[in-house]
Amino acid sequence: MIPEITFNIDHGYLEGLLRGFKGGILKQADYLNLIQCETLDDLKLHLQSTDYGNFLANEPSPLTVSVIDDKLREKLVVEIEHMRIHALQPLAGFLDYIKYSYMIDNVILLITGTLHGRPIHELLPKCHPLGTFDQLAAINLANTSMMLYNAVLVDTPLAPYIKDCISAEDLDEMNVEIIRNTLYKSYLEDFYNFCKKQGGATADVMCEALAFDADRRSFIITINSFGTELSKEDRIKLYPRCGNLYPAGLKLLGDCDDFDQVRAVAEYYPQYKELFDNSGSNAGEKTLEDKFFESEVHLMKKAFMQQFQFGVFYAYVRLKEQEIRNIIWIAECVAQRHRAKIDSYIPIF
Amino acid sequence: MGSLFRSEEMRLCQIFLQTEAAYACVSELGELGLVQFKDLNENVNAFQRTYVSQIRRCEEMERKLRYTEKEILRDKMRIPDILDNPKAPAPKEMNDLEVEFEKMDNELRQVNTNNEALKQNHLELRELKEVLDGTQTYFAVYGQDIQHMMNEETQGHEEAIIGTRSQQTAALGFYVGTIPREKVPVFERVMRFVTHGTVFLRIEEIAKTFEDPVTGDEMHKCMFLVFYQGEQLRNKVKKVCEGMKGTIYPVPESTQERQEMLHGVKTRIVDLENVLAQSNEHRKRVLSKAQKEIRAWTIKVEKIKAIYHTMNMFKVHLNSLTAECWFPVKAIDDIRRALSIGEKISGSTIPSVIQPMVTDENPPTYYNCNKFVKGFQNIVHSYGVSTYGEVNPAPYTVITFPFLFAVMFGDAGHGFIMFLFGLFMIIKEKSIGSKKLTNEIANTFFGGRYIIMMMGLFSIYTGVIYNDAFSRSFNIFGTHWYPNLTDSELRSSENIQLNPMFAHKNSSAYLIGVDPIWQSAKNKILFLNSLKMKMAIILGVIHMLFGVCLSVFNHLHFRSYIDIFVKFIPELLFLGCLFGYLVAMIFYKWIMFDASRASCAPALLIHYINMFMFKYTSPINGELCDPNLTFYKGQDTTQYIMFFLAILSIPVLLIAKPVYVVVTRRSRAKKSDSYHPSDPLIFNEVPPEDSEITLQVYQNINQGFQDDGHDSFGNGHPKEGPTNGTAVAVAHDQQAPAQSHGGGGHGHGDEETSEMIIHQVIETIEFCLGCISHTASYLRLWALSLAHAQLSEVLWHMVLSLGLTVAGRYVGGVVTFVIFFFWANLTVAILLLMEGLSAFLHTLRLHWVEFQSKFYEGEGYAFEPFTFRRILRMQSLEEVTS
Repeated sequence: MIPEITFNIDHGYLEGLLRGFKGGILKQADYLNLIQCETLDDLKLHLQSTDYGNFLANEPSPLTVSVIDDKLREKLVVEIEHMRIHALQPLAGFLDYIKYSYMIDNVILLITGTLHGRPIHELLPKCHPLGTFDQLAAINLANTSMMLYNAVLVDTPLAPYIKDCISAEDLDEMNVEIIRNTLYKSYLEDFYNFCKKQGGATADVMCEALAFDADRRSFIITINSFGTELSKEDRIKLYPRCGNLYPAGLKLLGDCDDFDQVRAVAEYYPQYKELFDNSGSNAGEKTLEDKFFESEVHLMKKAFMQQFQFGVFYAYVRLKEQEIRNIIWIAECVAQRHRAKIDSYIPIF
Repeated sequence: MGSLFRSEEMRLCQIFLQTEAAYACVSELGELGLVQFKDLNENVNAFQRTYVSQIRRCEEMERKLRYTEKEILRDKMRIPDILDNPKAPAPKEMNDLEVEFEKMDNELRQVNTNNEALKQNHLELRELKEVLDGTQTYFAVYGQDIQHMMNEETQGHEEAIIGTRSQQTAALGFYVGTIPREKVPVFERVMRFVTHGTVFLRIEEIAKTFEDPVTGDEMHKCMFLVFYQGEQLRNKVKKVCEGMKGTIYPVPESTQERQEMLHGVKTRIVDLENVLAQSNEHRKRVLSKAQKEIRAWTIKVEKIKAIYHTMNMFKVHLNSLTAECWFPVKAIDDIRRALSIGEKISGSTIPSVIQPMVTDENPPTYYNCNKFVKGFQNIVHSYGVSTYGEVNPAPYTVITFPFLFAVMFGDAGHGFIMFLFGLFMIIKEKSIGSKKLTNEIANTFFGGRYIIMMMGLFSIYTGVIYNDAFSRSFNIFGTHWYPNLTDSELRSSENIQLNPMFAHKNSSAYLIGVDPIWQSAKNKILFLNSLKMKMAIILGVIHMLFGVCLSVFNHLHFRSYIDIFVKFIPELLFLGCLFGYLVAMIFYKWIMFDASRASCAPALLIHYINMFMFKYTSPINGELCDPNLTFYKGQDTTQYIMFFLAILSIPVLLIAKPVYVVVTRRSRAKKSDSYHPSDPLIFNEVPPEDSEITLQVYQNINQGFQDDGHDSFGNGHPKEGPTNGTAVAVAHDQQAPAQSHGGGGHGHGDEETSEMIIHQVIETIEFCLGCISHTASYLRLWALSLAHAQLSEVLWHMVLSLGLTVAGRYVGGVVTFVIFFFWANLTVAILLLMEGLSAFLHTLRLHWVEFQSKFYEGEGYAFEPFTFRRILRMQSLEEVTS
């Protein structure tokens, strides 16, 4: 049976809802208004006239950036949770996969927090609400990855992802980074396979998106690893093997020693060549990270071109995350009266 | 009342307000609620407008009020409605309000923080008490065996690992605490994973519920007892407890100490409860002070906010504000009064000025309806708000809507119930209306209460005509049939045919409606079908003809007299000659053919079809009777004329209008070549002559200005006025629409012409085909009426009459009693609600499609005046945010 025919029976409502939400994503005109704001209260006033509505109405003045951040995030969480509750399989599973990445972030956040000796009840509220689970609370017990597995992750969906890096070594910052990247790598590969199994338009859209994410991680890992103790063999283990770079590109990346070599690897891939070519840290140039974000936004917007597929849900979350980053960037610029770089947000529509 | 037939005369004016008087003036206008302001700063950001800081202050006040309101509602206190309407406070008083709210807010927050701390304390103490109690009983039951149990519990594991059993007994400690009930499974699981099952965990539910100190929600908690051995396990257990939001309580080891502690805790609880009660008392006092005022405060703040929002739409000059607004011409005196009150309040010496503007923009449509017409007006408006100045169908709908509904719903009994329901809502109008129904469906019914009552009333009428009440007929005036049959005749045959020639008093008929004898006739349906079908056609054609006739008033009003000749008359001819003639034939047949000539009665359907096929069979001599023969003299000539009139009106409809427009446009273009340059100056002096009321307004305003004396924008010399330029240009334009109605400017003629021709073709086809399909569409009157009658008859025969026919006086009574219950319920559910809704829908369609398409454009927009009424109706501040 062609999946498009039966898609709407189970997921039509949510897709419709989501496309409605998508209409609320801020437009270029909104950003142009936002960057004219003099104070955070102006920002609030303008956001009131968008889909955000009165989300800040109950906050006492003066506003702070962190309050805005919390509220923006809360709004996204409410939307996603609403959809998750109404979702049927396999969409429910798909949405869960989206949440796993937040779970990984939370686990890492808490571990790093405890490593720095912060009490757990202070850290817990900082976790992203999309990625909280009950066992998180026991994370301060985990001083080795073995304990992490045993006490925290064993009966969560993340358990299979950590099995590659279980050891009895004490956790330090290096270890945590490795755990994060291993978790992410396994997660991406798993998600990739899940989407591939869905077939149809979902596979088309999602595999492209996840491949991009995987490649981005590989590049970033490589670039960030220069000058650290991470050995090349270990590094190569951290690359997600589901992107466009796999297998040849990853192998080349594994041998890189400096940024120029990474750039050389990217030369082989037209879509990444462009990103490396136009980026730089000089004034007036965009950073590589921003270039990647821009490219991601473009990709995610493309996801909305196809109907009857789950990619739009992923794309929406990603775009919304970008929007939150944009608003926060502008808010920070406004709050610190540092307007020179205020327009280096990444417009979405 | 004149306003119902057309929209109120609207006028666009500029108001010049002195900055210091603007607030008070706008406030007065808001109370009046008859002025719609235009946003003159559309391209200015919300946060860059003039009065944004005031709005922000209002929002801050709103926030505080919302907090207070929430606190009041949380304590289950009611917010009393206030009867009077507090005016918007002066801008100066805003500061006082702010200070007051600030004080209240602070006080409340402080009380709440204190309260929360106390409650938290209280909660902990209570938990401690429960935990102590629990531990006490636990040790009382198992006390001696603990060590022993511990051994047994851990033996399994320990033996495998080869432990040192002698050390175990030494460092046995325990933790006692509470944990939220929903966390218990995770807690158990994590505890087991972390310690590999080497601790002894016991969990018991605490029967009492606790109150969350912050939210006030109910919480269920469990107490846990963990026995562990050794320092390492102790740390682990402690960490797990911390992570799981469990609270560990220090419980002493010996029974004696526990007992003492329990005692201490109990006294502390009592003390704390006293303090808590006092603190609550204080909170109540603070809240009840706010409770009395909060409605008035809310209204005040909302009014201030609304006023500043409106003022943000004004253009700002040095010391004056310019507003542009629409208002009904009739209300100009009220508006002027409101402005002068505003000036007086603010103590401004320079009066505000109203300056009429001339514009080619379409004015908003405004009807000043009372609550009775409102429902009907809403029905019309849900199709489309009428174009400014066009005929409003609502006043006619008041009668036709319930009537057409009743034709389909014709049953006096059901109608009566519906009428009572409507009447009930109308009588209870005040009390229901003030309750503010939250149920959407109930609200819809309540909104349509007058419609429901009218529909019920008309249903009683049609029910009487159909002689139908709960599918029974009444023989009030005595049937006019008298079957003179003997007993033997009756006994011998089951069906007896009555010949109207002999069994009916042919001189008169049953006084009102259908003769009740048809109730018992076998061919009742055949008879009623014929009657109702013809009636449906008659009503439909009359309804449509009425619609076509209404279009004359539109043409007259818009001064497109040509439309009367090229549109109205051909339409009337088409509809009248084809379907009006059919109706005439029906009446002719009803009147001219009685029982004695029954066999000669013409078959109308055949005749009507033959009219289009030019087939006529005239009788050879007068004696012959056949339904297919022509039935009156000159029938063929009449029908030929009718047919060709109708056919000829089609090309007129199609061609005449475009030709006329093209011709006039061409001649005007020729003229304007020589005429145009000097044109504007002439118009400048003279107000547009095509509306008398404009003149009046001008005069009115002129007078007003002269009375005021010092007026910088004196209307007598419009050249000095600031809007001089636009007024001139527009005045010239206003002359144009009358002539080139449907056309446009001079520039792009060709495109518009072709567009107009296409438009005309579509309209013509739509009308001609529409007439045919719409006539057929009116047959729904018959179909639904039939369905309703049949359904109610089925219900009677299948349900209630079963009960009535059961033998025995006593048993039958009981059975009927029970069955009546079912019958009554089914009647209400199916016949009244379902059938009523479907008849309502069909009536709606007949009005929107069949009736209004004949004359109604519905392309206007509604007048939305700036008014405080919504604020007064608002129940709580939450409505603002949602």
